[in-house]
Amino acid sequence: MPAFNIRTICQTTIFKIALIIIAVALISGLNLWRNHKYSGTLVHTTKVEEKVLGEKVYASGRIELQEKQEAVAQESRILKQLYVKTGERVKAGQLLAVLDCPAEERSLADALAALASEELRYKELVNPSAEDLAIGQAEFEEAKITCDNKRKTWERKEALCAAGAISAQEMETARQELLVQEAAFLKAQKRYDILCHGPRAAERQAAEANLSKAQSAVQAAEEELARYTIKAEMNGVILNIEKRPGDMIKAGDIFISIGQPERLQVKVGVSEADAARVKPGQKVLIEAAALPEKIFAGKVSEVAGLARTKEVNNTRQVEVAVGVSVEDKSGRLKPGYSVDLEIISVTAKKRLVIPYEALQENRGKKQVWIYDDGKARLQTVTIGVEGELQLEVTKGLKPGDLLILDPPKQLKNGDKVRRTTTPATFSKDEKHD
Amino acid sequence: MQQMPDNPALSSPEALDMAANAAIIGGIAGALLTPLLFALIVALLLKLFNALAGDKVPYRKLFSVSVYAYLPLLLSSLIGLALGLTTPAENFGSISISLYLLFPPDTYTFPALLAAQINPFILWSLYLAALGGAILMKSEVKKVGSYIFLLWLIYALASSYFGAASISNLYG
Repeated sequence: MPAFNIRTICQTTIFKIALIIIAVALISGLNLWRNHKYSGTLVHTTKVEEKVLGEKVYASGRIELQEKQEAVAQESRILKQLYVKTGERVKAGQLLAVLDCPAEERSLADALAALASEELRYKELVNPSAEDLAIGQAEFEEAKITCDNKRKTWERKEALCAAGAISAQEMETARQELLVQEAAFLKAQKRYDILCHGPRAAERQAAEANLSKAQSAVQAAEEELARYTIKAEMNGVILNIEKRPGDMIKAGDIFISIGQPERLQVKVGVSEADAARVKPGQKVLIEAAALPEKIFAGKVSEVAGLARTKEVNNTRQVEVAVGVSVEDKSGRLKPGYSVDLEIISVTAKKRLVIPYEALQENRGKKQVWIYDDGKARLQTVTIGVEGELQLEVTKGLKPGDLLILDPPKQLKNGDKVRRTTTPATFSKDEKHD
Repeated sequence: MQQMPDNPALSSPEALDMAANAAIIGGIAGALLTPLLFALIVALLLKLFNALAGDKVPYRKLFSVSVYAYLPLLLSSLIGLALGLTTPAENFGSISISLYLLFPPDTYTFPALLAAQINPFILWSLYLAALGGAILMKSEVKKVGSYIFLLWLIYALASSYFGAASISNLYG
């Protein structure tokens, strides 16, 4: 009887075949167990976490001055004199330049002369001098004596006529002369009376009207001349001067620009979808293409009360105009620079966030699928702040919950699912929020 | 652990047809070329060992040994096929006859990929190659076996490491 030898047993064909069968059975068994354990729809999952999340609205625009003055020629003129230089700080009312306007200057001189004459006449009428009074009195007395003499002459000629010594014609001539002299006397008396007691209301009003007319003529001439005398209408800095003295400025040309470079603004159009989130006072981050290394701060200063339709590339876009005031004390931002804006509509802070891939909408309800111990469970959630890649959940989830990403359409509540612990692309891009 | 994402390129019927055709052609080519490639490489490695030992066993003979050593792998393929035929379609991709069975399906970490290389039929193949080689070269099985196993281990470690790294880079 052969000895019991393990080595011999191992070398028998039966043992080898048995070993293979055991191996195959083991492999099959393990495959069955594994398939059973990991059965169900394969899903990507992610963990609900608290992360810093805010909300931004993006827009692009151009830097503008908040206030500016542009000197525009109303008609073609030669620049006669320039009193400022580019970069010079000016105050409101300061003379900047004068345009050539000889005809207007002559008109003003004529108007001033006419006014001086009227003023003198009015002064004489209202407040006569002692000499004027004396002359008036002498003229009055002279007229009175002459009138008395004429009356006596007429009375004598009337008596002679009645006696038949002179003809009636002679008597009539004397009467006519008396009448003329009486009128002259009344005139002198009146003039003297005005000198002594001042003019009557009508006369005063007539004189005042003449004076006012002369003053208006001067004012009109000055206003006409002022059109060619360019003054600063605001405190600011001379940003640009297009012409030099002697240059011809054509009608409509802007030849001097004034502004406050530290008071800048950007006017942008925000899409109607984002407009409701933009409010005055919100902080804005501004990046200029010309200064990519620096981020400037700003604030939403105004949001238009109505939307406007804009056509871009044959597509109609509804936008709401938003004004942003820019804070730049460095003076590096210049009007005309193109800038990208990030309007911080909701300040970033720690929030419970989920990726958009986990969210689905069903009959107006926002829902997510939760991976619950190998089963899929549908959960209705309330959404808060919406970031670029993630959104806040204010109700329905707690930190640590596992969500199914891009849930299969055929998934039903309670279905068996198996998950991979893939962070997928979610974790890679989360820094953008 | 990593998960291969869905391939959007396979969403259209035309793309699916093309993928199926490519899979059939690839399968036939692989079935013909894999044993040949295996035998050529193993024979080459045995020849290298033989050359270093200063002996001159013809390559043809070593190739015959390598073909014989491929039989366990053929057996493993047949077992895999049989398992596949008896497995529901949704679990077809998770069939394995290696130590990868101890990991959840769709795991692409380094340990999982290394476990996928460790298969009793591979080890059997290596043993047969070492045994045949040792007989032809009149050397000890232990020596040839250590040489072959060491080379396979380096290959297994390297391919698992780079495989895991590339999947990690691709899918985050």
